[in-house]
Amino acid sequence: MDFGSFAEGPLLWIVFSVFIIGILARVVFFFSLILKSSKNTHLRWRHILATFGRSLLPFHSAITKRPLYAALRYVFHICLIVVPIWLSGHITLWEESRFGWNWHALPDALADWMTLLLLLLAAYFLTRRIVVAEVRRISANSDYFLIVLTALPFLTGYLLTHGNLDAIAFLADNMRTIHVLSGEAMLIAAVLLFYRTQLNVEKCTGCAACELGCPTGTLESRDGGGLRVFTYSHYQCICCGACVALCPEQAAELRHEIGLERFLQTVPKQEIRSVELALCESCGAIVAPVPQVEKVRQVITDDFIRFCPKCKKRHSAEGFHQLAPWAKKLKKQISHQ
Amino acid sequence: MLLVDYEKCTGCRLCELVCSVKHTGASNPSRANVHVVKWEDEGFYLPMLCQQCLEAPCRSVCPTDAIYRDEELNRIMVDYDLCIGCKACVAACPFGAMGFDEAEKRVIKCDVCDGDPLCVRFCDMKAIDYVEATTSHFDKMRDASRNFAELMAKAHGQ
Repeated sequence: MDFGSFAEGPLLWIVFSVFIIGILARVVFFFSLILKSSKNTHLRWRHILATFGRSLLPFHSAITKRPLYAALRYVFHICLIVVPIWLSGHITLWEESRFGWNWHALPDALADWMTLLLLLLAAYFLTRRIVVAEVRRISANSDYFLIVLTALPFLTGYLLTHGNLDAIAFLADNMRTIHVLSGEAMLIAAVLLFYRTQLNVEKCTGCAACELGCPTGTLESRDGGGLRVFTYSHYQCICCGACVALCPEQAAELRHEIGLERFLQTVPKQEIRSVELALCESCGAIVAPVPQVEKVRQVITDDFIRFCPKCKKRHSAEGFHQLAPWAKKLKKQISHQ
Repeated sequence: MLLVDYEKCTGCRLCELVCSVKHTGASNPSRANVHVVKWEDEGFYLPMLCQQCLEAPCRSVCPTDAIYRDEELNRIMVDYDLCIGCKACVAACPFGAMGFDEAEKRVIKCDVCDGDPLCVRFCDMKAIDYVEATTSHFDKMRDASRNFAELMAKAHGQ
């Protein structure tokens, strides 16, 4: 058996099994972690389902924050899922396999257009990552790799059906193998693909509204030692975008993250951001994160923001106290001057 | 609006209890919207409430415009459908009247019980009283606050 038929035969079945087992394992981890987490005890499942369902709709509030990019991303993912499943060539293979499954196929012309659209969008995403400095700064190597890996099966598939590069002997002979291998690589990558909220350090004020909105308790924050630390558990994330939708500063962003080490890290708590906390000047209780205090100071110029609500009450009551008859002595002192 | 007369307050903190029972169902003064600040040695007690400011700091810092003014009852209200829980209002309020309820995970403030405040009903001394707000009250308040500001300025200038 040569390598080509191995890749199309046994290897494909191995990859499919790994894919299905991997997805099942992730579902199991997801449920066990959700049941363990103490957050949102009431109406939790309904909340999770509702938030997840809403995220699939095109006019989700996380999406309307960046409409053009979100629309492109939406189209990209539809093509990514629809084309491989409903392609007539793939369905024929399923029919020929031992399962004998068969379902309605997309018209070939439409599938071609969707493939081209996907390749165009992939090229756009890749260029955007390279060209736009703001995006380049937060991109890791795996981000580029992921786009290329996703586009490769589609590119090779398109070339395979249309035979554009058949003039090159090596490609003409091996295009089918390359297509199958890249498709297998994409399936494996899909198992290892996670989502991660990234909090933009320059914009995030550390208010932890994202934590309150997160339906699965993926994002958590803990205050201690003058710091508010945000942690993130990737297995719990359902990519619903609630954090992105809620963030008042547009600082939260959902990112892809790919890696075997994430998959093996089943009890995950990654620290994704820590913010310094402003402490009350008279009692030392937590007031708010420093960036948020700075932001409030731009609007409110009064001095009370140094204190916690309890001490603020005390301090403003002190003013009334001095006005009261009890403090007549003080009043006299002042009027004598 | 709620009027506070510190000379009548006995410091019994019943207002805190009934407020928390009404708003949270639990008798827990730390979750109430009114707090009595005490100077025990002088016998001076002062219930501190939301002032329902005309130009409310909480309203101006809110990033989602969830805090609005209800002209009918003359109060500042939180729209919990819009509120995201960022607690900017808690940090901004100069009177510390905006609180955060850890159990319900949301901000809490005095809503004058939709016109029938429970603290007023339970305060036998009528240290807290509910009066219909009119513009004449605002004039009085303005005069009082001017005096207050002058006094404070003198006191601090000393």
